[in-house]
Amino acid sequence: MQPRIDYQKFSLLLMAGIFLGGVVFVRLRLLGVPLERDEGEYAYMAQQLLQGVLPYTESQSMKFPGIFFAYVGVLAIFGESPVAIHLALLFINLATAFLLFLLGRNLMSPSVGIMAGVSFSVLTLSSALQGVWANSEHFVLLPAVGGILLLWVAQDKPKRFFFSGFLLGCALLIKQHAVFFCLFGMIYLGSRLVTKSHPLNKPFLTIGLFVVGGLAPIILTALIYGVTGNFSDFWLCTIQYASEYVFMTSPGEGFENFKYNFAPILESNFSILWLSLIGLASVAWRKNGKGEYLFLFGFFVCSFLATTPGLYFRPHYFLLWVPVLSLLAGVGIESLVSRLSSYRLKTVIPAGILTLALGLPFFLQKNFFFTLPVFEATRMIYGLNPFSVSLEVSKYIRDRSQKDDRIAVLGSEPQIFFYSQRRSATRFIYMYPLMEKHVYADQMQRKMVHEIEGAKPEFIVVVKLSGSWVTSRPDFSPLLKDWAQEYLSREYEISGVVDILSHEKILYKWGEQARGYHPRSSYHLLVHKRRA
Amino acid sequence: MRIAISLFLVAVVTFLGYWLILDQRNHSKAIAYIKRGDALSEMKRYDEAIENYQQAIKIKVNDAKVYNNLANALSKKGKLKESIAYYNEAIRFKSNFADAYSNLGIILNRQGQFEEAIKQYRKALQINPDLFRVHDSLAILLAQQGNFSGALYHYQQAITLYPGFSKAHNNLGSSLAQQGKFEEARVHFEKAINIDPNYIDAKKNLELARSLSMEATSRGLLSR
Repeated sequence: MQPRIDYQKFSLLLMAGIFLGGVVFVRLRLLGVPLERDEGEYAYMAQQLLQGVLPYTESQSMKFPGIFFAYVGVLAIFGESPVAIHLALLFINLATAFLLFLLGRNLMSPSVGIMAGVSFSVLTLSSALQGVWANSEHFVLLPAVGGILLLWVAQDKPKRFFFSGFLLGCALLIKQHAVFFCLFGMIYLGSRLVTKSHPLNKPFLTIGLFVVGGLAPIILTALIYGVTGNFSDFWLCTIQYASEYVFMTSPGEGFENFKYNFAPILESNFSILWLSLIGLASVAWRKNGKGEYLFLFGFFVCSFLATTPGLYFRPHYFLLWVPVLSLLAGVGIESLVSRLSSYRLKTVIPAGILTLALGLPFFLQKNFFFTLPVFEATRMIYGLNPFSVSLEVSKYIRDRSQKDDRIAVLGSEPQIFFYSQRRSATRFIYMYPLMEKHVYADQMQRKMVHEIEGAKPEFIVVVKLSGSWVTSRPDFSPLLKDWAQEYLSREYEISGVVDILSHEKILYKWGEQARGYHPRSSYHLLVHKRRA
Repeated sequence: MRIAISLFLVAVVTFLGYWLILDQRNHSKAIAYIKRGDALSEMKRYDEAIENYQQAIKIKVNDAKVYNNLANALSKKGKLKESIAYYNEAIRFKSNFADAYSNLGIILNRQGQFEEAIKQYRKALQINPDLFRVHDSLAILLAQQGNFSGALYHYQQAITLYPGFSKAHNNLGSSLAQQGKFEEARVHFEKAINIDPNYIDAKKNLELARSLSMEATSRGLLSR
């Protein structure tokens, strides 16, 4: 009997190995994709932290600081470049896939573990999920899956519950959305309190340790801000403004966001997601493992809830749903063959289904995965957003300014600060909060004007691209626009123009050439240098 | 039985997923037309913009914004009747679409239907009281109708919302001058000029207000 089981595992492992190899190949090929604006923000904040500047003290962000701490590690270990950041992402992704394999193996079976791990790697590579960019969700998933794994295997060892809580708390410290993973942990422990099938030995100690572990990272961070006298900055950015931000979208708009951002993910990965659906439905014909199904179902619901805050449903938010969908895909394949009696079929069919399910996403995204050069791949996902041109603009600024000079960007392109290694003249490295409809917007605009006038930045980059702002609002006071027009014409002169004529054609004009040049496209960047 | 129900649910969700993908493809096509339409409008190539918006409407019939943008392009071409019809369509699909109400108000105003225009402006402001340009437009109409208190209120709202709104300061000054409040009028003309030093109308108005103010003062002295 023994060799038969080995054949089954061997065929699955072989297929998993081939697909993991494919994932690693694609990630290595696309290491050089330019940073998108969220990555730029994390990298810039981390760069600042490495120079001793705490997040929120000089730059505004509504994200919890865990992602900046994680990026500090990335920059310190791998280096300060897009390639280094994306290489770190490759390792983080593989580590999360391994933890998911362990969770699947412990929860259901080794086959489910293998299928879940490799499905996760393929799904998270998807262009529809913007998977090759190091968004914070990737960093949330590593501790979150680790915490959930510990929760399942903890049995009655109090230490493990503490560490489970701690890891989930770390996930929360990286992105607020992870609060739903913490909630899942609480619900799971609560269910063990009330059910008799798998009761907790020392319920209050267990839950207490889990809660203490979960709160520890946040409390420690709050203490750091309290001790350094920066708690109010931390509170304003991550709680007060973030609370405004999550209530800006109506349920109707939220539904539209979900529909139109989830559909491309579904389209390019339908084979895996259909297996997840089968996995969810298979509770009807599987005779055992009801407890495991309940665990999976809770994980499924809470993971979905983690994508919902603010109802923006941005493509990369769905990464938070991927671990449980991958586990369910593994369960789905196993359930499809659970009633087969022939050993040969039980060996061949799962490997065949896995090959088909994972092969289709590769086939459907072959251009992005294997053909397009990195800049074109970026434009395919982000359109005319100036992520690749930021490299040129930053190089120009870095070559013509001193290390201590400050710069400002009137637009939401924080990657320019990171690439040019120049500090922002204002705390507002994103324009979105200044343009949105909330009580702080007007005050933020005035503060930005005040800070820029005070800092007298050497360069000011004006980004004329809607993606860098938000949709123009007729009810918004054009204070910033009026001020910029007047201030720039008085104190600055044009020293660079980037005219984005199309996806393929971008014109760069510098110095004298730029001064006499009028952009032909309404999508352009203007680099202003302070008059001597 | 349980298996049958679960398989039925799988079929339903699969169908929903398929519908979602088809709907998204249509949405993407419509968005491409809308973006092209917007870009062409910005370049003042309104005929082509109108074509693109109409293509978008064929694919996605219930998007109020497209109707609004199409109506904007039509109004630029002087096709006011058609544009009114499309603004009304936009409002039909989104009853709280403040922009469509205010745009409709502008067109009705151009057509000389002042009462109707005032109604539309008021509706826009009911939905979004922060539309400072609509406050200004409404105030102009109210002043024309002799409703100075209403006009003053809306001019004040406009400049509270956007203190750098030179046109509203100038308009408010004119309204105050019409009521004989030359000193108050002068303050607003001066503010308008401070904001925009090249504002010729405000400069002329300031001169006029100064001379009328002096005239009124001397007349007052004589009568005393």
